[in-house]
Amino acid sequence: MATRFRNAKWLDTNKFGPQVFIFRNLESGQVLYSQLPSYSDYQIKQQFQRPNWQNRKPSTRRDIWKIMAVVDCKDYESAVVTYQSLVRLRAMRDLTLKNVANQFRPKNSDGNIWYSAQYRPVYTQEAVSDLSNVVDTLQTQVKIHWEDEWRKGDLSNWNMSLVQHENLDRAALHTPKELFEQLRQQARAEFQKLRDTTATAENQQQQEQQQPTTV
Amino acid sequence: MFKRSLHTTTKTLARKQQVNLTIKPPIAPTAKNLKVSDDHPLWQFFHNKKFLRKYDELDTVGRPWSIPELRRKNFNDLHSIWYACLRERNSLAREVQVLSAEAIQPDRNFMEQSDKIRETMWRIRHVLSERYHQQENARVEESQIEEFQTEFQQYYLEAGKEEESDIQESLKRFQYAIFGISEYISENTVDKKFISGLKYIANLKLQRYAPTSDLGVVTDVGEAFILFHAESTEKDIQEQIETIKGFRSQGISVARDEEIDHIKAYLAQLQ
Repeated sequence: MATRFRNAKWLDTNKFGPQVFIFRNLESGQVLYSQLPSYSDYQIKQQFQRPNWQNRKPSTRRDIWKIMAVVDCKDYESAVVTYQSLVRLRAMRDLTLKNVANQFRPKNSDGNIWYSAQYRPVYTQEAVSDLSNVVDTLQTQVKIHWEDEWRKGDLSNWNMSLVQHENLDRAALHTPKELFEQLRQQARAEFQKLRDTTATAENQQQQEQQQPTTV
Repeated sequence: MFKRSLHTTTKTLARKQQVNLTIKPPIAPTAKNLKVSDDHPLWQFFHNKKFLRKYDELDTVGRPWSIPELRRKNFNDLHSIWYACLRERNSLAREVQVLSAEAIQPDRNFMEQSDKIRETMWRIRHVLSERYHQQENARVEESQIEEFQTEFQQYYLEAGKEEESDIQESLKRFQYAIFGISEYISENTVDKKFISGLKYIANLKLQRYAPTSDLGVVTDVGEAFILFHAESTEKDIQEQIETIKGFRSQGISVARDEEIDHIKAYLAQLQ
């Protein structure tokens, strides 16, 4: 399913939630964005365009990618734009603004990105920064479900009027399939609520317009 | 002109520009977001909830508990000391582990402190093992008890009149060691062992102070209690023999299944 870009209508028709899924690689610390609660080679190709020895192209090993955060957006359009913006920021970090991104990264004594074995913690931190940046730029209401509340960093980095932080159930993380299903249902229910209230408001507006004005 | 407008590059450039984005510095995770309750069990691995103590905060002037000091402590005290030591060693081990990320060798100051506590801990084990072996040595096996009884019986019956006070003291110790009968009434628990002790000692007294009596072996617990309670003199024993004979003529006796209740009632009256 997650083998190509999915537009807002497709997501709604196929009963997915207005969500963005952020996976993290346990071995390397790299991060993968996906519109669906799964990922494929498509996302890896798209999000790791210039692999090198410090930022290797990761494999699709299912055991090594774990959910880091699930972003609930208010509607499908904003979910799609959030996903696209995250991918664009990744491309900037890897391609167009490579040097700027590299300046922010902590270095070891050899001048390379700090690492321990295969693990480079900065990639996850960049993803958190990008998410906060996207929310700020798009000015869209989101609810972020974090795998670990530690990871979201200092709250001063977040626009608290737009973001609502939640924690995922630790025990539920062991069975991600059920967890994603539960989150999908929640997100769809919230979206349905929003759609209903908007429809009611529009109806009322129309009725008010149709009513003849009496003097 | 028409042809150019269909060109891919033109279409790409004509695409609506999305929002202006630019990259920002990474956001590092922070422990400030974590709320830990004060009674979290892992706090036991922290000294006063400190991540890492400074060297001057370590107790460098103290010394391990010595063995003679520990010998004076009872089991509960030793148990408390052991756990205090264990907790302290756990937090020291954690601090050493934290420091080991920076150094090749384990930190000397922390390790010295840990070794001191370790010394106390082996000494506690040593004192406990001493007590265990003492208890093991003191515990007499069943076969030895019989042997001991025969030996005591011989000593008790053959002792001369000049040794009277000695045998009374020995009897007290004997009855407490073998049957658990204390000279203080409140300390006693009436059970099967207590009853057999009463009977055994009653017969011993009878054999020593009235060897010629025609009472025979005392098996009734009421009779045994009278003799047990009697003073260790020939005169007093003789009087009690007469009382027992009176009971026998009236047919007063205690059934075997009522022995324990009967003696309990007697002791309650005496108290």
